[in-house]
This record gives sequence, structure tokens and C-alpha cells, in this order.
Amino acid sequence: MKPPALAVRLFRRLLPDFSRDAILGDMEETFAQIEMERGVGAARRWYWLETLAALPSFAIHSLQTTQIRRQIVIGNTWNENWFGKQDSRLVAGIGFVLLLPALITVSLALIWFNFGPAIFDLIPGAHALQEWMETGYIQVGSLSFPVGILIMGSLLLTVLVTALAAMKISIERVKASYRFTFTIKPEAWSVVLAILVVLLGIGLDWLIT
Amino acid sequence: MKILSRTEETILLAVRALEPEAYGLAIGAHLKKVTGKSWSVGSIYIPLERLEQRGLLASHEGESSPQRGGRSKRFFKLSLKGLEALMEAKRLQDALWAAVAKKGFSLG
Repeated sequence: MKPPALAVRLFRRLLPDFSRDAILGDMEETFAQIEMERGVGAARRWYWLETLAALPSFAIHSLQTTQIRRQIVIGNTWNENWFGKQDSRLVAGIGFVLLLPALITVSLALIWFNFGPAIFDLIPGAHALQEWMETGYIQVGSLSFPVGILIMGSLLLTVLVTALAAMKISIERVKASYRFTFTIKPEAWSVVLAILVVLLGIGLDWLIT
Repeated sequence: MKILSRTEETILLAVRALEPEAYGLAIGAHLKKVTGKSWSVGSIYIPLERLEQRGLLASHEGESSPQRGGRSKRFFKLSLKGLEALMEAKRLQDALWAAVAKKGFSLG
């Protein structure tokens, strides 16, 4: 009789590569021993209990080792070059996220500043849209939206995403410095982030009003 | 040298006691016999892995067997660094206990 397949699969997922075979082998050896002494039911119960008892510690261990590896990677990049591989990937990801709100902002701003007609002249069949633009309202069904509000909305979204991205880069960079990595806990960073977001909100509110 | 934690010291002592047959299951059985408590595989293998990464233990794979589903055992043994760490732990324990022994254990 074999140990419960689901428990084995669960175990296999979380065990470190280093000792996966040895642990599964130990478990199977004990399973066979219990099965011989107390029957298959007792052996299956033991296997499940042992799996449930061990999984949290292996899950935490897996997280810890992943975190350490990540910090070493970021730390190496930090030491090698300020604009290293890690940052390049991060900036590329942020750039992708920013692309859509940036495009919306630029095109709406062009329309708002009366560059719209020139653009729409280049697009065949866009004159109906041009007419809407010239009135300063975008008509969607029976609803009409002032273009200015849409510009402000997409602008705010762009600013917000940019600020969050800048915070992420700053946090990653500060975390990469070993001096801070071990003295500031992630929870503390969440508080710093929350304070910065509140300050940003206050600043935007002050700017707008 | 970094001071060993209580668990690390216990695991190293168990490995030393069982060498050259120190593998996960045997270590667990030995610890149950000595401490009277069951040790889960996580509580044995995670310190074992950490200690090996720190160079205090070395390991090698044994033969596989059908009883273990064709999987091999991983045998552990103390490295010189591990032995030194144990000696240092013992020296510390002795010094701490000697200081307490002078005072005795009576309250007040």
C-alpha cells in the first residue's frame, strides 16, 4: 500500500530540492512500518498528520529562503550598478503600466489645446469625433463628459501610478542596502508607504484647490 | 563563531551520536527517545539543511531501497567546523552552569 497521493503531492510541492527525496523516503519508510504494526488506516492517518504538522514550517522556510535569495540578487545589482539589470526590468514593467494612462493624457491634452482637428484630419472618417471635441464634450450615448475632467482624471491616474512606481523603486533600492535590510521590517515600510500616499493626496488636493 | 541555537545544538549532538548512520528518520527516533517528544520531519530537516549550508554538517546520499519507494537516504556527519561549534557550545554551557552552581538553586 502506498501513502495518500494527495499528501505526497502537497509535500513534494513545498519540500526544498535539497532534501525532497530523503524526506519522502523517510516518510514512506515510516508509513510501511506503521502499516505493518497497526494497519493501513493508522498509517494513512499518521501520514496526513505528519504532512499537516510539517507543511507550515516548510512553507515558512521556503518563503525565508526565497526572500534571502531575492535580497542577494537585488543587493548584488545595487553594488554593481545603480541602473543594473534588476532596475531595468523594474523600469520596463512600470513603463508598460504607465503607457495607457500616458497615451490617454497626451491625446486628450492635444484635443483640449485644439490640436484635435489637425490630428483628426489625418484619420479618415474621424470628423464626427472632431465635432464632439470642438464643443469640449465627449458624447457617450445620452451622457456627455467635459473633456477637461477626463484629462484631469487620466493625469491624476498617471501621477498616482508614477508616484507609486517611484516609491517602489526607492523602497527596493533602500532595501537593497544591507544596512537597512536588517534594521527596517516590511511592516515599517508599509507605514512609510501609507504616510507618503496620504501626503501625496494632501499635496494634490492643495494643488487642485 | 555564531553561537548555536538550542535546536541546532540538539541536532548536531544527535548526528554525532548516530554517525555514520545519521539520517532523518534515525535522528527523529533518537531525539524522541532522549527528549520524550515527537519531532516532525520539518523540525529535523530544516535545521539540518541550515547547518549544512553553514558548513557545520556534510551529507551524502546512500543506496535507494524499495521500502522507501526507491528513494535514497541522506546521511549526515559533522564537519570539523561543526565539531568546533559543538565544543564551543559545551564550553559556554559549562561556564554558565558553573556560575549558577556557585549560587545553588534554592530560592531566596
